[in-house]
Amino acid sequence: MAIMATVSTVMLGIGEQSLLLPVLTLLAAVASVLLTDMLGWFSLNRYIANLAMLLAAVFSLWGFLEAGSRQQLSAIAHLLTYVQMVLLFQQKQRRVYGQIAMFSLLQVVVASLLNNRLEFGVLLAGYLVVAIGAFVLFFVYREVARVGMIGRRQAWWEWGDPAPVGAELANDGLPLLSVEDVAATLNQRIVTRNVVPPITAMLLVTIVLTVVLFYITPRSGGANWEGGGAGKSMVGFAPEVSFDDMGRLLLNQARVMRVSFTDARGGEPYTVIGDPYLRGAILTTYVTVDGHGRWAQVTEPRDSAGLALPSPPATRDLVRQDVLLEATGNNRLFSMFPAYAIAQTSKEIKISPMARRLFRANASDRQLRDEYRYTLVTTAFRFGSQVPVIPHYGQVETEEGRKSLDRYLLRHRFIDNRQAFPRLIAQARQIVQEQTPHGTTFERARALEAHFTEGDRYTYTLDMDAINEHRESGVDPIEDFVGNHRTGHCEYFASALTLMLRSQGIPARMVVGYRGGEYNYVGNYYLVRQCDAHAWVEAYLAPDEIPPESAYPQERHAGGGWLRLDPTPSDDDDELGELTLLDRASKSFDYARWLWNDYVTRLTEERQRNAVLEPLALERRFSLAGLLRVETWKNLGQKLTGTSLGRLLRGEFSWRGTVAALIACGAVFLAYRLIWSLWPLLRTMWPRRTERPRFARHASVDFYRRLESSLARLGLRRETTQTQRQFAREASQRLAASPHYARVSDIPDQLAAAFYQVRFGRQTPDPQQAAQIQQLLQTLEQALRQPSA
Amino acid sequence: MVRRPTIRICLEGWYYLFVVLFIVGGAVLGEVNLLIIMAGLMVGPFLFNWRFAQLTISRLDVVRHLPQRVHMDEALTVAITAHNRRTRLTSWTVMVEDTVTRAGDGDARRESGVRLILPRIPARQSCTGRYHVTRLQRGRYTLGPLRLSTRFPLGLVRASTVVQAEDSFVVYPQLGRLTPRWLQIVHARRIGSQSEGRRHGVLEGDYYGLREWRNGDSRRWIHWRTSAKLGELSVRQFEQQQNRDLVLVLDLWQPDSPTPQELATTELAVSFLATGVADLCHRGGSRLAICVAGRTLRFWSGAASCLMAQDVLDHLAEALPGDGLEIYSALNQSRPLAGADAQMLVMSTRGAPFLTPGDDWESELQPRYCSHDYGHLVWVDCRSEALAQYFTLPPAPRADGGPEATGAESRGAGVSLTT
Repeated sequence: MAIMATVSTVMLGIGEQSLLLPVLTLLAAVASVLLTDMLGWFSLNRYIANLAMLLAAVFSLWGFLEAGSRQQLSAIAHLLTYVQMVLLFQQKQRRVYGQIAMFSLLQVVVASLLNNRLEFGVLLAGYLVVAIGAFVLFFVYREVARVGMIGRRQAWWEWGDPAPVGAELANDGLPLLSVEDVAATLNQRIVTRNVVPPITAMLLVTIVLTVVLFYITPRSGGANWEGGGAGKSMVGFAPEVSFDDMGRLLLNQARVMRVSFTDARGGEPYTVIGDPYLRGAILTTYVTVDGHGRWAQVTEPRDSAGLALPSPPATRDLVRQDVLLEATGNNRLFSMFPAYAIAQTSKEIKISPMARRLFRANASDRQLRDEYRYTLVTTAFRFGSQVPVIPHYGQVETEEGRKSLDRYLLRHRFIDNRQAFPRLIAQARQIVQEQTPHGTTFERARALEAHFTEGDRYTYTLDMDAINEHRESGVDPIEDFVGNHRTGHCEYFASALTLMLRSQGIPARMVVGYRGGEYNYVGNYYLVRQCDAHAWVEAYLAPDEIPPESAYPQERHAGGGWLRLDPTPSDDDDELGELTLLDRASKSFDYARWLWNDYVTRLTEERQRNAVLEPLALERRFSLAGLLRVETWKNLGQKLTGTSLGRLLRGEFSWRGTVAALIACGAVFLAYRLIWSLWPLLRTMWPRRTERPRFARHASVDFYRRLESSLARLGLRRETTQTQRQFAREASQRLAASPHYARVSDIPDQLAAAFYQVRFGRQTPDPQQAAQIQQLLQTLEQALRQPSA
Repeated sequence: MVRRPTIRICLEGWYYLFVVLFIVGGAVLGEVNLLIIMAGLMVGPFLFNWRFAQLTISRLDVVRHLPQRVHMDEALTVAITAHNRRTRLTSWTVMVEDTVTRAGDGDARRESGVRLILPRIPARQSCTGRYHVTRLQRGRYTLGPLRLSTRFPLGLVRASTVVQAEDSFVVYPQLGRLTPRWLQIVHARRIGSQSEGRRHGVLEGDYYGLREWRNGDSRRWIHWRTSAKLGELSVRQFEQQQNRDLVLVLDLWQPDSPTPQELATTELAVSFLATGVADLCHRGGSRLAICVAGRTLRFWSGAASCLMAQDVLDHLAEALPGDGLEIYSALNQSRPLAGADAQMLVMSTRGAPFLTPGDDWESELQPRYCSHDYGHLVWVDCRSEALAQYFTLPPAPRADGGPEATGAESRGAGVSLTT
């Protein structure tokens, strides 16, 4: 019980991110076990304990009166902790043990409302084991206490141990009954290693039942509790870029999202070559104020409403991206572009027509403080590599559409304050003239990009002090970067390239988002952290300027396309080395965390339908009629063959398939055992089928039984290998062979025929038939009673 | 006969369900996934407990073993053996409840129960538990029915079944210690009559039965044919006819509303007779006539033997006091059963008023019983100190460790009359 109380408090402490209460409870548990239970030096009597609990309640009341349901829950949880600590120091008896167990359970319930992280799940599994062990020991304690002479029956409110029985009853003239086994002996005989198998079976049954219950419980989609995500620190994403940072930019390791890429058709993981670029925002306007440069978005009023995402083009090579976004506090979403909607895509995901950003429409503040899972598809990949050119959204078939495109490009074609960038413009002109004087837009853009990435002209750094050391005051930071210190981070590079492109009349825009991330080979997803934030450039290419090899063949490029350019020198540190054991453990843990979030804490109605019910065909298609259709099984087969298990069944060995097969076998076996175990209970819960008429029920057994018992007098007994009809025929032949019984030799055959009608034909004999059966039986019995010669 | 198991939710189970209900309510109303998991984790053990307890209690055979007779000062040990007929499943912590009921009417009928645990009964195996019954009172006790129950593994749900296994045993009166005075009376008559005794039979007396061989038995007594049949040695038993007659009469009188002292006197008188009969039958060689005049009248006569002792003790175990009128018949009918010179010993729960001059009974009894027609009569009033001359009960242990006063010691003065 002490361990149980401690574990539950630790679970609570993790949710509150405080170690004070867990440590206090641990100390109290150790002290109480030593001082109160083992040595018996110290214990609180009931009155002092009640007073202490009252004080704890008053103390916790202050917390309860604070605003906010979380604070109130915390206050309740604290009260439960204090009460358990007091109980631990009381003399242990049935009441105290029971109260500790109940309060500990309630504490876990409260903790589950305050914490939904994977650590809680792990501790919950541990708590399950500890709690079941504690309950079993508590049960043994209670059972052993009941052994002996039976005294007065305790009332339901009496939790204490029963008073010893003996002397008072013996004085009453009753015999004194005593049991041979003492408590210690009984404890030793019950709590042995032999008790482990049934307890293990209970654990397994509990886990299976919980999993089934969890995934079939219908959800309405409207969670009324904000969950454990509320109040957690939110990762930020700056939709604007400024260059006034001081000091060294720290690599923020906070997780932003997990992105998995799968083949939209087969559902298999899609292998991405290179780092994926997840776009967050497009920055259009660059302004300099007092020597500090800043990029900003250009939005229009109609951007706030947003448009529904378009459907993907008719192509087979779609890549599905599933994103689990951490709580960000805003409605911005990230995705590979071009992004399209499919059936699994939430309707609340919109795209702004002007700013070209994805966002959640109509999301409440509370929802924004929670993690968010969404699904999109993209045509950004071809043979695993990211296609450099993405199409421009917008209708260009109409005159209005073309004008709109021109207006849009106009914003990206020129530098507003050209006199502020003399060196930048001069360099850009020089690069173009030297390398591609007559080149296409594509070639000029690439040449300008190469200016940054090739050679050692520029230095990548996050140390703003190193930049500021060489800054020329009064000069635009980007102009200063290109013409002076040539040291900066990705935003400097992207800004410089964007402005260079614009100086050459090439429409360009700066894009901020995330590049790459840590690939988790266990779960086949990218873990994107805040330090993976990146800025790059997109240059506009007219439809006729798009090189065919740089664009997706089936994509619509009527409005032109945007060429992705990344001027930031590549970071060699990102190269994959040999994974250490720690790395593997870290990736596995992160994958477990993802699964926990994906399949447990964030299992919404939509997610349940998509991830659980539909794959198992439990929704809509799960009906008796559906089961009888060939298409149902064909679809299920097709789905199964696409999975790891299906590949294993096709003879392709894989570890995942093997594990899935083992789990499936175990699940089937456990399900069978569970149904077998619970069948009597289920049978009592459901009304029984209407019983057949009484005569039919008994006739199916009784009259044939009479026939067999009658024939048994002659030594005719049915073998276990004989059917009733075979036996009847054999009996008829034997009777016919005897002159005394020949007249009744056909009766066994007739009765056997009647038996078959009743027993297997489910026909109820009418009264006339029943009378006939009785008559035949009586005739046979009378004949058999007469002695043979 | 084992009935179908009955399932009940225990007190702890109701509390547990209350918490489950609380969690399920929170899970449904709040749609908190972790609460749904919590609900599943709590419902699972409950259902497992339900089903496992039901399975555990079924297909168990129970047998009770106990001796059929026991003396009051002895402890009775009852062994309960349960056999698990299942092929795989082990039964855990099977609680057996047995009831011990003293037969009788009204207040005399007492019932008490005991619980014992059979910790583990592996499949196709048996497990035995024992309990002891002490402080038994004289009489017949019935045991059963047996209630088997289990709450394993969590104690939330109890599956129980009732086994109609009923047994009974008899508690003999407490045996006391006979004093030299008793031996003097009995042996004086025996010594005096020894010369007149005639031996019957070839050896030590008339052959009347067989018993197993014991240490000290003569090899000449071995009945070889029976020994060969049974595979163990059997010896012949002989009845010694020495013509030493003794009449023992127990007068169990008790008023309609007896005091505790009168109740104790009744028990004392019964113990006295039981001790005397046991002693005489153990010694053998006497011809006895025994009469118990209580609520009913019962006679025995014949050579003192173990069978006679058992028969008499069986009756004494359940003998009830009466209104005292049966003493006439007792005295009248017991005398002819013995010789004219037989010694008669009356053990009565009453004394002096019965034979005091002026009493209503005097005119009728004195001439009848104090005459030579009835030989020598010793009337022992069990309420009196005179009882201690013949018989004492061993002191019962007291809470303070000192010896408990016997019934005779605590009584008032009585009358002992020897004619």
